[in-house]
Amino acid sequence: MTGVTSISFLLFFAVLFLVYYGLPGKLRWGVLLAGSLFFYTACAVPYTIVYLLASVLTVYPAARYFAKADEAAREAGGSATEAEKRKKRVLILALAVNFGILATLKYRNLLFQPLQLLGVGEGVSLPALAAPLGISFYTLQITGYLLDCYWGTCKAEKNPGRLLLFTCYFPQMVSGPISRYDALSGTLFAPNRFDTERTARGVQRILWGFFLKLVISERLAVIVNAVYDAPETYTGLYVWAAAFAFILQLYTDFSGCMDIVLGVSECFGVTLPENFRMPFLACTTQEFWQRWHITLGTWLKDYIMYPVLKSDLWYRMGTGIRKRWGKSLSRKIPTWAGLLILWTAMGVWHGNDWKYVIGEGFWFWLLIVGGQICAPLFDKGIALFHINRASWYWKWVQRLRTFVCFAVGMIFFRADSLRQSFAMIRNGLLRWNTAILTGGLWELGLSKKDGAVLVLGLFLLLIVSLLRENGSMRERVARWPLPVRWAVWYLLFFAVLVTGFYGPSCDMSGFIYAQF
Amino acid sequence: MTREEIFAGVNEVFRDIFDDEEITVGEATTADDIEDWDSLEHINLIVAIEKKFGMKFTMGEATGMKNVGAMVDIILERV
Repeated sequence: MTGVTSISFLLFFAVLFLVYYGLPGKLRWGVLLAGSLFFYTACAVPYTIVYLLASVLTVYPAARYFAKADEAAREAGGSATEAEKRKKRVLILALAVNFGILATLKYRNLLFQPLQLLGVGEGVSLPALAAPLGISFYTLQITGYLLDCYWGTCKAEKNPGRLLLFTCYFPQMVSGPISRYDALSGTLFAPNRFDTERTARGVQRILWGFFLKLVISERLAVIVNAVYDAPETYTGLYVWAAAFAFILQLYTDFSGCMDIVLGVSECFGVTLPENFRMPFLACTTQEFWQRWHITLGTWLKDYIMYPVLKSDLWYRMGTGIRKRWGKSLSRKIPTWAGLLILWTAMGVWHGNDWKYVIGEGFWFWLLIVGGQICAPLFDKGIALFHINRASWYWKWVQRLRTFVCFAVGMIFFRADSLRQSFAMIRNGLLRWNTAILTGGLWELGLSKKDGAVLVLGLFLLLIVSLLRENGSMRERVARWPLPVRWAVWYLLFFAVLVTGFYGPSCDMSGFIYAQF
Repeated sequence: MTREEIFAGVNEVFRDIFDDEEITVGEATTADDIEDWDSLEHINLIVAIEKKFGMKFTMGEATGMKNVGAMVDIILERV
């Protein structure tokens, strides 16, 4: 039942919805907890729930301890240093348990791969360990809560059941978003009353998510899979077509999943944070990552990068550089070093393979830092060619450049290995092949009819994205006359029903980010 | 230290960090009032102020303060 587009998930959602609003308000968060635990055990290897419980059982007492220690320090009016030391030890222990579980279950291979390249442990395979559902998401979420309690920006939860629900709330278990306790708790534990308008909005959002996943993403998957399954066969423009198709597939798959997840949650009156904000309209790589997988980027920035930049080590690095190379570099170099840590963490989080560290980490770090270093050069080029920075065409050139840069990084994400990623980039650049433009596209498994539906779907997505830049699309539609808005939603419903791609290669219930 | 003395010290740090001798911060000054004051420069600013006054902000305080007045309130508590 892991896929939020599966029939069993929709049935589960419908039953839980009826039970939720059928019971008194004060029992409602308990219904969500029972439903979330049921969802968890139905989707994952049942015994892996012990890992989830281990996380909650380490974080809950640690957070309560921080609250009591802060209170005692305030009352005593002194001995704050000793209390701080004890708090730090508890924090380190709780973080070690949580990230230890995550590293053992998900990222063992990252350490093992370089050893194998050096000839150590050749032919040895690591034992398979079942990882809990959504471990990469919930570990960040609960450790974020732990750090917020440690820093005193969040009040420690007294009820362990509530903390458990915050950790395993079912809509966000599969692919996020990664929520903050103070933002989510307000609606998660509230006795939310049934609201027709809100439920309708939730269902509308779910419908849009289905459209993205079934009408667009699954069709793009046909092209992507054909090329990536036979990387030696396809060269030249085929590689770039597949790379561009993949990022559109990933976007429609992941943001479609988020639309369903946020829509389901909206039906229960629980507000989850947005994870996407029209990323392909970004003009720079930096801006792109402020619009793509927003909650992951925010988590890494708030809980890794800022504490690193604020540390004494970074301060000493800054003063050392200032003495040697001056003030400007003393601010830039520590920031670039902090960004390197952030992007390495981004790559490591994405997967148990060095291809993620290079493609999703180092590549984007290089683009951002390289862009800052080369900025004076770019400025000269812009002045030389008399380019108007404020013009619409320059904005679209920048958007295209950002799109291409992202597509290159995502080749590493989609390819089977680091070797295959480099081989595909080489084939794309050096083995020129333009057959895809002269009919080759239709030999990749997608019929002309499906191609036409895909183009129309992408065109609709572009229009909606441009309109959403200026406010919510659902609110805009809600202001239209009744017959028109009903026509819009019915059209979307029938578009999903009739043009949804349910072909043989379709994995209707599978989402790319569910693997994390 | 008086509040005025702290403001004078904070102002000095702002001028150094943003390379602008024209800056004069007040109680209500926020990131919207200074062009280059983004999230990264904010952390640089926090570190420089910590060193200037020999105190520490918690991460919660560093990311949660609403304006320069709030920053000065915290410094006043610690020095």
